Amino acid sequence: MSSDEERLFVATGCGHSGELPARTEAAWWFEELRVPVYRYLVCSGLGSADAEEVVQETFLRLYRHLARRGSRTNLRGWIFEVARNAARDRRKSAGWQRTVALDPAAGIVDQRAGPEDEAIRQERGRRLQAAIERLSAPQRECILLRISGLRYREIAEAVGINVASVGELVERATARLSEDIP
Amino acid sequence: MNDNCVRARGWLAQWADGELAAAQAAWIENHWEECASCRGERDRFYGFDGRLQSFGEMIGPPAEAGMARLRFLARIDEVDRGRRKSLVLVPAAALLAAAAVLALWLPRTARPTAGADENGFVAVPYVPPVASYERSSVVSMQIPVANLLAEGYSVAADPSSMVQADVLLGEDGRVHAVRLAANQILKGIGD
Repeated sequence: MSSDEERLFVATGCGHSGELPARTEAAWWFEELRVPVYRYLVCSGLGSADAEEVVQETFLRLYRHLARRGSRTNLRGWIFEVARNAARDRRKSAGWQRTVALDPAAGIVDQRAGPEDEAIRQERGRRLQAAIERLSAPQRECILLRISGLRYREIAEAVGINVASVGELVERATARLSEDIP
Repeated sequence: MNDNCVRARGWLAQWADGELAAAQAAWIENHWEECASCRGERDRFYGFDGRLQSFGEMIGPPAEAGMARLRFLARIDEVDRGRRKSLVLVPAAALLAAAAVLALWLPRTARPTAGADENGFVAVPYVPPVASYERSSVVSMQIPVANLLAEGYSVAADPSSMVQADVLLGEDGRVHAVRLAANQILKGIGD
């Protein structure tokens, strides 16, 4: 039983994820990963409204997948992969070309901060996003998932590599980011 | 940097999440006591990891969690309604498609063939011709005109009489076509 299945078991009291109604299981995953997936999409460059829509699309696809009794192997990785592909499709669509936010940090808002602090944070956010863009694809993926709130063990599951490799990728990425954003 | 340093750096990520086993955690902390380079690496990694996490925490969906969940469940219901409709529509569409295929197929096999072929055989009405791969044979016999009429032929002869005819048989013994002796006219339907 994976760590996700264990937690699903604790939350629902059901012995095996395959025994749950697809609606219940999809709702659990939605609660679990809605915010991380949203953060991942915003950091990948989607505007706030687009990111919210892609989150909904992603979990609807998960629901259909579960209802069809699709594979439950590494659903966490599956969800982020679907989100990544849906975001790419949205970027390609004509509608996104019209409505794309010019400011990639537009979705990054700290409700607690005042206007000045907020401006500084947004500037830092922009610089960080620009620096992340310059990383290699595997490093970028791990960093984006970390920003999204996943633990390193969960990142390893999502990406399909071992934790030590994630650690090495992130260690190299943070060394590079530290140089770019002292 | 020695092997211990490589191992310590490989465990940094798990250490940052507090997921190292007690023995591993004790080992890595002991290593940091001895190795200034790895200690510096830990501080840099931990500091930047903290920045990544706080950056992530600034990003939260504008929709309130409860509302987002309700919206998601409503969309699941939409999907289910669509699926229930398709459960009714798909069999109906399948039936229509099957009917269309039958309508296209039946006339081809049932259409009576009128007129004789180059060998003088007239196809039995509503019976498909011998397939090209099928072995056929011709048998001469006396046939009651009434039987030919019953098969759908039009015969210019007394219905109570017999006629001499060649019969084209398929591999399975089925009669596919009939050829009457000279001076007798046999017509299929449609002639």
